[in-house]
Amino acid sequence: MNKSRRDFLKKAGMTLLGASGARFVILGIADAEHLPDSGGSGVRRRWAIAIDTEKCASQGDCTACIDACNAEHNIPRIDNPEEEIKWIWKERAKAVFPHQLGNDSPRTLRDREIPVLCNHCENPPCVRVCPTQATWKRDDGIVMMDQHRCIGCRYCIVGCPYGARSFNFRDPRRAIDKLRSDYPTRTRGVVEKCTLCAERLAIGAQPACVEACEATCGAMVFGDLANPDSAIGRLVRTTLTMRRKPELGTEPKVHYKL
Amino acid sequence: MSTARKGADRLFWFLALTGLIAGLVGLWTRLTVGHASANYGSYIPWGLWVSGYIYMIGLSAGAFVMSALVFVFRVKALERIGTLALLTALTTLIGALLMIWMDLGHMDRVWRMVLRTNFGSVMGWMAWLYGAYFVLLLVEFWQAMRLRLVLQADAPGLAGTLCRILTFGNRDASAASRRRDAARLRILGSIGIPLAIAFHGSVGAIFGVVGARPYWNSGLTPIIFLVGALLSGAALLAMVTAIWGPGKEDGDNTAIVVLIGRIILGLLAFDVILEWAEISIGLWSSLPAESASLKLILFGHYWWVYWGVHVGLGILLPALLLLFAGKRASAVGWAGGLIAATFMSVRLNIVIPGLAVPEMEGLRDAFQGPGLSFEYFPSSAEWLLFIFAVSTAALLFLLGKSLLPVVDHDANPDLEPQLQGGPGHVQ
Repeated sequence: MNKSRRDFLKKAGMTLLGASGARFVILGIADAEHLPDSGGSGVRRRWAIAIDTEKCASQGDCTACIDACNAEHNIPRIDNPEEEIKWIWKERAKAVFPHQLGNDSPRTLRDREIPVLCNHCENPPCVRVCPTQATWKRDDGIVMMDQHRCIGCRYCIVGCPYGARSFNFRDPRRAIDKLRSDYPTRTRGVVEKCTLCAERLAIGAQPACVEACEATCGAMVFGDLANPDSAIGRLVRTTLTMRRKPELGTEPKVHYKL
Repeated sequence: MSTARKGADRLFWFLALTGLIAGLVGLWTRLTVGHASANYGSYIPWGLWVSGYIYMIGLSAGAFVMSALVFVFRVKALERIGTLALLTALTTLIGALLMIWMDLGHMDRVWRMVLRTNFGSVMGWMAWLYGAYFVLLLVEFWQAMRLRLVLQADAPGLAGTLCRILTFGNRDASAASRRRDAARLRILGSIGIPLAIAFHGSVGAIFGVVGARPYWNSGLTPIIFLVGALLSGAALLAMVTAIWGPGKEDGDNTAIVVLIGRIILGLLAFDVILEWAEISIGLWSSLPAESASLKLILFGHYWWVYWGVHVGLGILLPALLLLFAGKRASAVGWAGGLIAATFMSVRLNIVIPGLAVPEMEGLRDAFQGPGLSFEYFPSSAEWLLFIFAVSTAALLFLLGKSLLPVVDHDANPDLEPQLQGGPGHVQ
């Protein structure tokens, strides 16, 4: 009896070990092969985006990143700006960096239209305030959102210092230009925001906005900040970049090169 | 009941019923088109409904603490209004919870607040605190009425039947049972005080912890919420007591109302000091992030809400009434009514200006044109739903005071021992 029980535990342990090992191997291969800038150092990833605003502005009214994101995520087109759903959009630089770009800054710099999105903060206030765990920070730093858990209290919108979250005042499914069947739609009464294309990262692709930007001017660089050899790691370490509202201590992971 | 009190009673029945009927339109709109009928948007995501919720929850907390003066601290002069204070606290709590429930984008998912709580969130705690407070209020309300329920169980009519049912078969009116009642009430009230402070302090903390909103982000915010709750709740109770309190004629309850008037005056002074501290420090520092909201309150488009409604009708006029006619029950009742009603402007001036200064400077000219600040005025659907919640609370109160033995108009000496469960009476 004892022997068979011991055998059973041993076999069960071996099976579990094997299964988890296989999972590590599978993930390891997937990570190494597909995900950008993976260092394989075992250090926890910190996905980030750097935006070269000068390059971006050189494209004039380009909205490739916005269009790609909207198409990828079934984002509705709502004309009323107060009810608009925005994952990534453009703002004037002086609005994005009101304290850094004063009236004496170069006009071309102040009036530059630059993309803004969820900053996937290291210390996200939205996660802290959500009463139902509908939003959380993943191990790789992505601030995720599960609309099925969202009760629509809008505390996260109030708590976000960057205005990066939108509330569905109306049924968004009626305002989607071209419905993608492989991405979920949302319902009336929930909050949504950029997820840094977590679903694309899972299959080794870059975020849709970055991919679209690469096809135009390449102003956006995406990668793992935890890896010093990654393109974004090198860029952030060698160039002066700015982040929004650093005084709040949220540690945004979207960097801007002005 | 005197003619004046009867008139006030009829007026409130009329207002509550009319409000409920009109409010049904707001309820229908809310249930059919959701938040699309509201005038707030992604930049000002909270509006009249959230303000209405913190307004009514404050009234509830304040009225409850007044009841604790009776059941915990045994202030004898107020003992005949202890149950009335509990009914006020219970009905305003129901109104508040109704209001905030309607404000949720997904009302059907409210259970997640309890079963999937994020205890790191101040709001996450609220569902638990409200649940505990609601149960405690119900039990304490019943316990406070128990003896009267027993004594009136044989009365004819609907009220008698209701009393009979609510005794739950326990007809014990002995001296021992009354001492037991008093002891239980003291325990329940003692649990209730920290609970009321915790949940209303937490309502303040919901705003106070938001670093993104400098106007709210202060350690003073929960304190201001608490003092405001005490003031508005006590003020409401002054009006309630003046109209429906013990005594059949005007003046029968003057002593009680006058005492509440003195409490209100003290709380009003304290509230003004806190307000002064908040405004003067915020403006003095000249930090645009905070002073922008304050300037919006004082000199913005809706300056009259602060100066006219709050300062004029909610501070100066009641203060004059309390100072110069504070010995007349009707004057104190009016002062209480004015403070309680206009306190909604204080709650609106907390929620809206805190949100009306955008996270990004440029947002304000994104859709309103340069030079204009964020502006919000509730839509008719928002007002109607707010009226629905307030009217529901008012109607529940009116039904409660009519059908349940909440007030002992005849100062029945049989009831006196209920509060004399031990030493510690404060005259």
